[in-house]
Amino acid sequence: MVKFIIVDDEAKEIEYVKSLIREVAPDANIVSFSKINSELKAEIGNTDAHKIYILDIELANKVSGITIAKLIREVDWESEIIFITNHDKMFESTHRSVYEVFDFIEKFHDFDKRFKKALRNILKRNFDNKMFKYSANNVDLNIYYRNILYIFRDTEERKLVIVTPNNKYKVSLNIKDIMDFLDGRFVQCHRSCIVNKNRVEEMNYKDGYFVLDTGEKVYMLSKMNRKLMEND
Amino acid sequence: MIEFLVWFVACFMSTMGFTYLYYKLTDTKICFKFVTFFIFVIGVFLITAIKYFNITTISSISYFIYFPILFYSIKKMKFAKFIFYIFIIYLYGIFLDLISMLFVTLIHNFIYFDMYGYIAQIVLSLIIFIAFVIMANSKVIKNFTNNLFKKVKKISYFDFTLISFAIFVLLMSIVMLYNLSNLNMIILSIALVLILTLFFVLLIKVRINLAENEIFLELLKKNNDFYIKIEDENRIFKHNLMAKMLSIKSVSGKNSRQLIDDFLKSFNNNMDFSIQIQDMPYGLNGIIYEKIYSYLGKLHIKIDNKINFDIFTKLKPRRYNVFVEKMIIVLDNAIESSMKSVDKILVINLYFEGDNIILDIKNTFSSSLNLDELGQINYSTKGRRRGLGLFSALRDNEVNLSIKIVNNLFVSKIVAKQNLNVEE
Repeated sequence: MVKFIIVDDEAKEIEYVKSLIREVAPDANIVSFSKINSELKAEIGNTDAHKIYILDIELANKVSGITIAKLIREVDWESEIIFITNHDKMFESTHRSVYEVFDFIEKFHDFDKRFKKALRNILKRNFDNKMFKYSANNVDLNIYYRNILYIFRDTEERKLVIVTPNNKYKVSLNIKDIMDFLDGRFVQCHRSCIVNKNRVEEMNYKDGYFVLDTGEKVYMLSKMNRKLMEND
Repeated sequence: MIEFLVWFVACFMSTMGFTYLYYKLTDTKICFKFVTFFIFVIGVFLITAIKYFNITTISSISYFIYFPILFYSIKKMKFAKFIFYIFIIYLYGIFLDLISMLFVTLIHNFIYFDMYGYIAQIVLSLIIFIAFVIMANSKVIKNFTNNLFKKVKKISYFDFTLISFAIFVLLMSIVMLYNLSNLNMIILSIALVLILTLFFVLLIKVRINLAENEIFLELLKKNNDFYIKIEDENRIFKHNLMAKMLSIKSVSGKNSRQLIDDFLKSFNNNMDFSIQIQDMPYGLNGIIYEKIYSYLGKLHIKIDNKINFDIFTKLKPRRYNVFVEKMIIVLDNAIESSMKSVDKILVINLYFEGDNIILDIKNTFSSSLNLDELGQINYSTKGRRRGLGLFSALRDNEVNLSIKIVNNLFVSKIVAKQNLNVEE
C-alpha cells in the first residue's frame, strides 16, 4: 500500500492536502509532520514501503523541504517527491534533476487540480522507480530502468553499452548476464541488443530498425526476435 | 653475584621512577600490561648486565634505546610529542641525578661513608625514585611540562634542526680546537665541517623558501579578501540594478515588460547560495568562487554550506592540502562536464557528519563513460594524455574520494576525517 507523507508547518495546509489525497485515494495511509524530527528521519530511513512525500519548501524552522528531499535521496530513490511552493520556480530544474522531484506545485495557482493530477499520474505509473545497479573499480552506477533506452554490445571494445537519453555507460558484462539484472520491459531485439520496450515508438522489421521516444533510430532489430518483442 | 643483584635493584628503582614520571606526565592510567612489564624487566636485566660486565660501547646509549621502547609500549602518541616527553624526562633525570649527587656529597663531607658501597647505591636509587614520585605528582612540574610542550610545538621543524646544527657545529669546533695536533683528526674535522656546511646551506635555503611561502600565503589571503569585497559590491550593484529595472517595468508597455522579465530571469536564475560566500570556510570560499566565477552565467550552480568554522583548524595540514587538491580536481572536472551537458547543473554541498568534513559535488554530464576504466591512469573522456587528475585524486587515502553515478548525475564525495587531537 502506498504511504503518503506530508511535511508542512501549517496545520490547515496539512488538513487540506489530506482531503485532496483522500479524493484520489480514499483508503490512503497518510502521515504528517510539521518539521524534521527523529520520527520523520525514521520514516525516511524505512524504505520498505512505496511512499509519496509531499514537502513544503519553506518550513518554519531552519530545515527546508529541499533539505528533507536531500535526506530522502541519500537512502531512497524509489519514493516520489512532490514539492509545494508559494514562490517563483527558481531552481526548479536543478532540484528536479538532483532530487528526482516528480513535480513542483504552486500553492496559489490551480493547486488542487495540479496536485490531484500529479497524484493520479504517480499512482498510474505504479512507482516505476527501480534502478539498475553496477559496481566498477572506482565508481558505482545507479540508473532508473525507465531511463535506459537500449543496451548493445560494442564488438570493438567487447563491452556492453547502456544507452540513456544523455549518456552512454560501458560495462564489462555480456548480454546473457545483464538480462538477469533487468525486468520484463527489456527484451532482446537482436543478438547484440536489448531494448526497453516502453521507450520504443516504432518497430520496422523489414529494414531492421526501431525508433525510440527520443527520436533516435537504431538499426538493431532482428526478425528472429519478433515474437519476444510482441509477446511481452 | 651480590653486586649484580644490587645493580639490578638500583636499576629497577630508577627505571620505575622514570616510568612513573612518564605515566603521570602523559596522563596515562596505571594498569598492568604484560608487554610493558616484559619490556621493563628484560630491559632492567640487560642494562644491569651491561653495567656489570662493563660493556662501555653500549653502556652510554643503553638508556637512549631502552626508554623509548618502554615508553612506546605504555602509550602511543604523535611522534613529536613522544620525542618531547622522552627528551624532557631525560632532562628531569639528569637534573635529579645532579641534585642527588650534590646532596650525597654534602652529607659525605659531614659523615664519612662508602659512597660506592652496596647500601649507599640502593639508598641513592631509592632517593632518586622518591624524587621522581614527588616530581611526577607535582602540579608545578606538570604545568611547566605542558606549557613547554605548547611552546616547543610552535617551533617549526626546520628552525629546530637549524638550531641543532648550529649547536653541533659549535661543539665540533671545540673538539677541533683541542685536537689540532693530530693530523687525522684535522682532516676528519674539515670533512665533517664541509658536510655540515652543506647541510646548513640547504637548511637555510629551505628556511628562506618557507618564509617566501608565508609571504605568498599572506598575498593569497589578501586576494581572497579582495574577491569577497568585490562580490559584496557586485551584489549591491546587482540589487540596485534590479530595483531600477523593476521600477521601469512598472511603467512599461507589454513588450518592454516581457523584455525586462527575460532579462531579470537570466540575471537571477543561475546562482544560488544557501549563505553568503564569505560565510563559507575561509580559503575554500576563495577557491570555489575563483573556479565558478567565469561560469556564473553559463551553469545552474547551487551551493549549500553547513560549515561555519575554519576547516584548516580541524584538519591536519597535510589532510587539508589533500582535501583542497581533491576539491580542485573534482570541481574542475565537474565544471567541464556540466558545461558539455544538456541541463548544465552543478551542485556543491559542504557539511559535516560525525567526525567527517564532507564536500559533495554533483554535476550533470553528457558523455560515453567506460566505467571499468574510470579513474585509471590516462583514461579520460576529454581526450588523450588526460585523466591524471582523477587517477591521482583516487590514489591518496589521506582524504577519501568516492564516485557514483545516480540518476545521470555524477556524484563525487570527498570525506576528510577531523583531526581529534588538533586542540592538544
